[in-house]
Amino acid sequence: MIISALKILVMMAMISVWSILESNEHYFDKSITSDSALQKTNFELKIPPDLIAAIDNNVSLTFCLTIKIAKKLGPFFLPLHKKIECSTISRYAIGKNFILKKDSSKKNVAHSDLRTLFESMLKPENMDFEVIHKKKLADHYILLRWKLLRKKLPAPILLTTFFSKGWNYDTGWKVIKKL
Amino acid sequence: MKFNFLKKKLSVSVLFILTASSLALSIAALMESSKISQYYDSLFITNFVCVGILIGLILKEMKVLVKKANDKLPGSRITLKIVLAFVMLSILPLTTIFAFSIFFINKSIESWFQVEISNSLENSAALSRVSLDLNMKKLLRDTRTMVSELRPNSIGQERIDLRYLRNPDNFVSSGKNILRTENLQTLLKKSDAEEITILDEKGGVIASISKLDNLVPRLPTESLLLQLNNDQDFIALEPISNDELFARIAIKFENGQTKNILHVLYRLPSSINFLAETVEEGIAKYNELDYLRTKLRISFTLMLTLVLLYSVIGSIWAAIFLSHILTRPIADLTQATKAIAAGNYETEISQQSNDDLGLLIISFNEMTKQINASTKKIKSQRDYLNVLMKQLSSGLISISESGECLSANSAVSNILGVEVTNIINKPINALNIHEKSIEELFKRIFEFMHHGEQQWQFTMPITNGKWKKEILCRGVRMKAFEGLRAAHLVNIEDITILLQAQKEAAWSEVARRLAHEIKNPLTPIKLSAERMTMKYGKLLVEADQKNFSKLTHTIIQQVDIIKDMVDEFSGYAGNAAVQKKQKLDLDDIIKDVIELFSEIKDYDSIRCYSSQTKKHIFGCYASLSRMLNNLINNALEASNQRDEKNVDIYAKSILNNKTKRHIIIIKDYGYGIPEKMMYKIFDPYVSTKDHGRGLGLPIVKKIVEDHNGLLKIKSDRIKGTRVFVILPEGIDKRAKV
Repeated sequence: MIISALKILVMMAMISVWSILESNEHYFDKSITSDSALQKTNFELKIPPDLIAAIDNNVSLTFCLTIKIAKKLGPFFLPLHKKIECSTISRYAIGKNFILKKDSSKKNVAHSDLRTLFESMLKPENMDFEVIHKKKLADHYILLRWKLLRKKLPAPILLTTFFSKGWNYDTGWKVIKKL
Repeated sequence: MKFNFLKKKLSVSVLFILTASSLALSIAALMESSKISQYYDSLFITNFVCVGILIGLILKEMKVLVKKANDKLPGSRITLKIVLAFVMLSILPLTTIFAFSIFFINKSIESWFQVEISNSLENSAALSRVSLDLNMKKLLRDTRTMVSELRPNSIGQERIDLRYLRNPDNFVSSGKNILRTENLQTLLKKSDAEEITILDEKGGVIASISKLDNLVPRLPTESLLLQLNNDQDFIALEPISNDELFARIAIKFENGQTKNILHVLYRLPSSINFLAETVEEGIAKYNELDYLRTKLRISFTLMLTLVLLYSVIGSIWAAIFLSHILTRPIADLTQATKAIAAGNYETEISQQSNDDLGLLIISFNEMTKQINASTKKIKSQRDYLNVLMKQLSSGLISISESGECLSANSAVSNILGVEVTNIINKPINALNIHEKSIEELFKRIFEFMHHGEQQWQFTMPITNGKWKKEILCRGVRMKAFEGLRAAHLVNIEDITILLQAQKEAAWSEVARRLAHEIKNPLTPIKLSAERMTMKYGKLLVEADQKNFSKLTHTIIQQVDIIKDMVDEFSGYAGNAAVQKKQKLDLDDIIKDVIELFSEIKDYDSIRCYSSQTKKHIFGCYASLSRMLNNLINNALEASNQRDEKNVDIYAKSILNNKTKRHIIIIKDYGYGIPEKMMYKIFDPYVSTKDHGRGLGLPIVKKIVEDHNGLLKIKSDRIKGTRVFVILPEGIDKRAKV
């Protein structure tokens, strides 16, 4: 009985620590008007050169965007809603352009260069904030996280880049808006 | 133990299967399979961990093997040798295969990337591009024609909010706005376009129509708008949906006061689409492989290394397992041989196979059974011999040719008073024994042995300070035969009692004859002397009468003395068989004897301390009285030497081993008996007194022995002498101390 209680206690402590670590990364608070949900975010993706080189060599990379709506409790963020959107970037050799393919809709968008492609990825109009509009949440925060999906990488890269920081690309959680 | 072994084997087997599966999946992931490839790193780590655990287990097993070999456990060394041989045999080919595999893989990977192939692919891409450009130019012309056919005034400038299009409920109202542009429908029908969209300068959708199944038009990118703002038409080839190639063409045109953009999507013909797709796929794959070249090489090398390690570990494990199976019978045989060498002749090995080793085990078991039977037989014979030897009252010693004592029975210890451990396995001419006379005895034995006689014997007295014994020593040279170390067998016998008995018998015979021969003429002599006094004394003159009377008196007196002496001889030679024995109370005898002394001595000088118990004995009153008389007399005389008058008599009964005995102790306060006299104090004619005839104690001893008793003397120069007379409870005349 006591052991079970202890186990539950330890598990709860672990979950608390995890949620704190998960939500409190790269925190920066900037008061934004309530109508600014569709404004452009003020951070850019700094893609490591290794990844750029891989795309240039026709290696498809998949990035996952996690959007989280969280309520602030003291210094912590309590997640309420979470959505993950993955997109694959690949180079089109004949057209000499780059294709951004959303995994959920299978819709392709061609870009003449990678810079414009990454910029388009950050555009809020490309993000689905329907939930926010529907629920009309106030005093909540939108947190974003971009991450390279390693498991979609070719097998040889998986092994040789296990400890590479670039190949484990992750922006961490970034607070982009206050609702 | 066996369960643990099986459990261990099962665990290791499971681990091997797990590692093999993981390796197979890793190789599949590395080669192609896209579904497994996402788990490649996890699989690799699993492989790594499994191989690590297996290496750890192997090292542990090897350590155990080496330790066993160092401890010289049966079968361990041959097991280690077999394992090492297996390892050597497996490592060499495996390493060779590994080296060649690495070489071939590197060569194969390098062979994929040739300049010719690379150029061909680039050329094919260029060719495709040229071919497609021709098509694109045509489509551009078609689009320009489309602009001229548009009625710009009918196009409103109201933007469509695309957010409404995301909800199908809003489609109808917004759709109406789109459908209002009738000329777009006409254009879509007339042309090969799949989607036509009218945009304002900033990219906002004004009108759109599409054959595709999408609600929202495929909007142009910012770069496209930027290019159009620079007054350039936009032409691009894009895989828009399901990897089908589409031509995206955008042209800026005047719509009254404002500028609008005509954005058209054309689907390329399926034949061109297929060819372009093939070329694209080839180029993309080639480029990807080129980029992954080094990484592939590293991955293959790592995988092959893991496979090599797995194979080596597998072979070592198999070697250990097989060597255990192979060497188990050998280990069993070695262990059993050691057990037999240690004397465990009941060892038996269980037969586990029918091969040559199995036959060897059967033969071994047979041999063990025979040895066991023979050993038991020898042991029983030896035990029988040992019992005989222990029962012997004679001492037996076996001695080697060099003079080393090989064995001695317990009688030797009893006779000589020396522990046999002080003699066995030692040279008899250099024994370190405290008793010099015993050392002398062995030296004499050694001398006789070296004289070379077949048989010899001698007698000699030995003493250790407490006793003195007469020893008869006989030796015989044994016939030499193989395996027998003993060259001489020596028999030692204590003949003290025998000699004493012979001596006593001789003395007794002498005394009896002497008494008989002397006693006969004494009475006539005495009677003649008395008659001469009576008859002829009165006839002589007064002066002669006195002289005559004195002479006859001397004769009578001397005859009386001779008679007393003869009586003592008679007493010593007296026959126990003719003594009249009856049930007596020892206290009464003691009391009577003490009363006799009261007439001639100070009665108070003899003190008697007797226990309350009745002390019945079966004996001769006269003999026992005489014995006590002699002892008290001796004690009084001894006490007088020190001007002491006292003699103490103690009488008590003891019960020992359910046998009742009576002890009489006569204690004097004299100077004791000299030590040198102690050995012969019971011999006739041995006396410490000047006037003594030396028959008192021999007579006492004889009387005590006639009553199955025991006589002991303890003497001390300061405390005096104590004589112990121990007599059995006398109802049963067979009772003996």
